[in-house]
Amino acid sequence: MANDETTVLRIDVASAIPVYRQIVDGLRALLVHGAFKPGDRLPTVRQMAVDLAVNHNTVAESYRLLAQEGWLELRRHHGATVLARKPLHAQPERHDDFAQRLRELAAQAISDGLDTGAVAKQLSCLASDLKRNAPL
Amino acid sequence: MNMLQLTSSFAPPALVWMAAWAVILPLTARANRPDIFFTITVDPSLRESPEGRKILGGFTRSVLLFSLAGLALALIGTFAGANPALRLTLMSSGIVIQMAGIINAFATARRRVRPYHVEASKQREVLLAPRRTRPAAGWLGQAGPLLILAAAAFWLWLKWNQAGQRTGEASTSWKSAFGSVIFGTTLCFVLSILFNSLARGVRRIHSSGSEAEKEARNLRSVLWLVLALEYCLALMFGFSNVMPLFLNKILNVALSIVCVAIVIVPLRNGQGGWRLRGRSSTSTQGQPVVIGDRTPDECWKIGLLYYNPNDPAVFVEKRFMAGWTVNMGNPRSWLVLGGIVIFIVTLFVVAH
Repeated sequence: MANDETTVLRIDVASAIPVYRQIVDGLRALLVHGAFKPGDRLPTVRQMAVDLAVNHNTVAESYRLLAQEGWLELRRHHGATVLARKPLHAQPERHDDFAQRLRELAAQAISDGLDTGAVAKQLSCLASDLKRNAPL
Repeated sequence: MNMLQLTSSFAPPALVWMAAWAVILPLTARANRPDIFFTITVDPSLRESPEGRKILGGFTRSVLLFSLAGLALALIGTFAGANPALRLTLMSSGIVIQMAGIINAFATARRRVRPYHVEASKQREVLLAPRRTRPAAGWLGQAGPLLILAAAAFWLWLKWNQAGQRTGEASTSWKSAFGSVIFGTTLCFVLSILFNSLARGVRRIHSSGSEAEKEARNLRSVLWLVLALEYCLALMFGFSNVMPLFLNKILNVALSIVCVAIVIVPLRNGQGGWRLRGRSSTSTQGQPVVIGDRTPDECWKIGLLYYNPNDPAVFVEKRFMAGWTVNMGNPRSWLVLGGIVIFIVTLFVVAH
């Protein structure tokens, strides 16, 4: 899906999660799912900053982080271009790290009031989506 | 021109101007986004509620009352015999009364709306596709007015040379010969900057769905009107001296229609095109979402001036009256405004 008119990134400026992190996470989720083809262009830093009503530097930082991860190529005045990113082979410690973060996230959700069953159900749904390669 | 002639020529446009304010302002208050009421973010249901209708009715009555009083005084001034000082005083007083009444009506309406203020949604969205880089109407359509003026300048230059420092149009001064073309070029240039700034720089409040489509349609219609204005001005300042009288009259009528349309169309469309046909956005619970215009209320000074250094937008939607205004907190806005002012002042100085 190349720059589909319905591909929209949503953020919440009132959230405790920093805006740049929300942009990175949102874009990464779309990139991982394959919402963009290599060569597709994302909005310029200025355009995205104006539409989201956030500082330029916030958007620039998000793009920079995604560029460091190998998802984007940044060119002045041309915005960001999606790159063909080769799948990386994660080190064993990344698996442990991921499992640890997932446990912490589940604990946080339960601590915030979600019941264990709901958390388990969400994790199960996520697992199904991943198997089906559905959008995250 | 003596004082009497001056007041006589000043009277008709002043009266039309005052009457136009009386009609347009109450309509303007109804054209803002449903969740912006007298420049304050409110629940969209407020406007149609009994209290909302009461506030709007009060504003309309107040504007009409003071406008009628002002118009009456200005009319008396227009027919106040041969005393120019009395005429000027009565007419100026009429204008001042109307303006004071409008300001008072606006301030009162705002004060009454303020208790209903709600926080707009903090959710923001952006369409992940680059904007079209090709300008609306294409490069040629955009360049058309400047090409017309260039052709007019070339034609004048040819005539100038043929007549040996004379255009044959009764003047030897280059200012008289080219002044009109230079002035037209300046106007078209400024309008062209405005056109491109709006086409590329305004914020999309909605990025998807019917609301986004309405916004795009509204912007397109405004851009076409600005372009039509550019063409009318280019023809008028380029060729009005050499056109047959009937063509000049047609051009004047066309210009008047475009000017009226520039006021009427945005009011009809509503701010951001919300009055255009199409479904309105609702939340999953079916309740209207308070989206606002993505600008914080506290950054609006008296509801009319927007100052937000943290907002990268140069142009933002006006909260009262249709169209866009500049973000005074953005240095680029000052550059744009300063550039336009310097350009016009320089031209004025050169012309004199």
